[in-house]
Amino acid sequence: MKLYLRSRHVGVAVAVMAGLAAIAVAVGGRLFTVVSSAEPVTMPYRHALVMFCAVVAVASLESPVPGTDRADTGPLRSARRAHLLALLVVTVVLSAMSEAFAAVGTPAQAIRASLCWYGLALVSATVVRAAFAWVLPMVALFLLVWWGNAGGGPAVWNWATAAAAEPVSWVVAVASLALGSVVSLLRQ
Amino acid sequence: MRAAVWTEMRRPLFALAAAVLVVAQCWLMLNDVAAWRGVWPMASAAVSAPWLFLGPAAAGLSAYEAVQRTQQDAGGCAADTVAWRSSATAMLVARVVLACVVVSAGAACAVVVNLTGHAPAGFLWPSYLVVTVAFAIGSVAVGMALGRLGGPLWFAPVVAMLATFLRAAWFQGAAPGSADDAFTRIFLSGRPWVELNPHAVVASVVETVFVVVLALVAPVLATRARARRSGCTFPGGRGASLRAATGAVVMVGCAALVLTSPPVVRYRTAPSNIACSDTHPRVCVWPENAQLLPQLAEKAARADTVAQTVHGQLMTQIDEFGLSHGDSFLAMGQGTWFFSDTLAGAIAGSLAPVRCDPPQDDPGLWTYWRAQSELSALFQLQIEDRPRPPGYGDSSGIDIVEVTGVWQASPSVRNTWVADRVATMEALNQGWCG
Repeated sequence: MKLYLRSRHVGVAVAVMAGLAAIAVAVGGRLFTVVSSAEPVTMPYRHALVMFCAVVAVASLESPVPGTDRADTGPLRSARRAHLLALLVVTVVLSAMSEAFAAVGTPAQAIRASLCWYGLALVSATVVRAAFAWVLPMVALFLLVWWGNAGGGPAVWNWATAAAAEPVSWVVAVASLALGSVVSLLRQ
Repeated sequence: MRAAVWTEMRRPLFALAAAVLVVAQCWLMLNDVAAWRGVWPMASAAVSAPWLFLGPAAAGLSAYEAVQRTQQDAGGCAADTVAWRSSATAMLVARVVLACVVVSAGAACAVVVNLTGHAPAGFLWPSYLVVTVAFAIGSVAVGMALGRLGGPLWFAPVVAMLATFLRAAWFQGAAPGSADDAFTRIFLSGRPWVELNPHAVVASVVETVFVVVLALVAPVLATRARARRSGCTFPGGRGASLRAATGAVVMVGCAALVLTSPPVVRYRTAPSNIACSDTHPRVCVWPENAQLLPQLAEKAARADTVAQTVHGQLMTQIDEFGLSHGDSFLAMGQGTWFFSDTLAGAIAGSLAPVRCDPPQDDPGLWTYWRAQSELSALFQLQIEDRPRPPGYGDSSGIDIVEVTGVWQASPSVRNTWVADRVATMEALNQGWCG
């Protein structure tokens, strides 16, 4: 297990994630502006940083020796599962803590967003490869900007900014994580 | 070198990346086409806007290829400096070509749309394109720099993407002329009343030079250090050290120039050839927005009719923002809602203007402004002759459903509704000012 952790540089990944969480606390409610169909849309940086946190966690699955990994008969598979589960917990905890310390949103929103971004990153990592775990979340971020707002507020499915009690957004987040997990398990 | 660059450009991942980025550039632009069609500076900025997403993607792809190549090179331990450097330079040149091709595709898309969209005489503004190309090249160079430094296979692509995204987004939306605006590189819109400061455009190019030099120098130094630690030979001697030192000096100079650069966006002075209508009120717009004039003139004429119906008054002239210090409006893309809002507000404000300075804590003030806002909303609907679009921002707190119902009702109902509000405003006025 120690060899696995060292080969994936999991410590570096956790350090980067902690750095992102610290930045999220520092930037607080600062917004960045993007355009959505002629109307400017603003989004707090924190929401994008949660995405990057999930991407770093999943990207750290990238194997330095994929050929050797393919010959695995079991131990590596369980190490990968433990890796994914542990970094999911780290992602969720860091996101919730940064949201709580930033004191501008609710931790529940950050947890929901982490689950969804993690699932999307997992799908991307499985379909393309782990180092490209960012591809699908980046596309999803664009879709979120483009269609994630309706009638002056976030859409009910918007997993990043909808109200914490909005059930549809939770369904989307859990579905994303479930899809990512299933795709990842099937590929192993 | 040309052969090496050509070899780089024929790699499958490179060709795939080029195709995907070109399609994404054009698709993202066309998704927002209503905002920039027919207005050259807006079209120029539209080429830039997709790079908020394309820049990080290009940086991530570039980093991935670079880190993979670095690991392959490292397998050979005794790296040949000349071959290593020429391979790194060829990779970088190929990616610079890629960035230029994608931006050129966006520019071509904008030109085609504008030429078929009845744009006034003109062309894309080069300043926006220069900054966009500089940012695009900077993005791929950041990826190259991080990828060539080595490390875990996942680290460079993710960090390059993150760094590029934060670089692009951090200074997004900075107010023109503000300190943050000196580092803006992505433009979501290019309004005719603003332009890019040439000094700041040069600074954006200098910033790219900084990143390109970093991409060429930093990996050489890192590889030398690694080779020395592992006992491998990495020939180069004083020549390599001299180049690295020169690169470091160039980078310090570039950084100083970028950090002291002026704000990128600045307001333009009004030109003499502004386009004006012969309506009452007279409407004047920037030459770049001349295509908006017919529909603005139509709204102005309708506003005049509404004003006469309710015995209100309109300004004699209304200019697009930046043309004068008098009554002005914002022409946002092809929309006219800001314009009609200004006209409707002027009519509503003329019906029972406050003749004195009422106490600010008077509860009647809220009633007065609410009545005026309702009248203004009704007049705006009459001027536009269509219901408000979904998502229309209105902070006045009025019941737009009720106002829309009045707009659709018979003239007698509408007149009574208007008279009620004017009477309310007049009564309050009487109470305050006597």
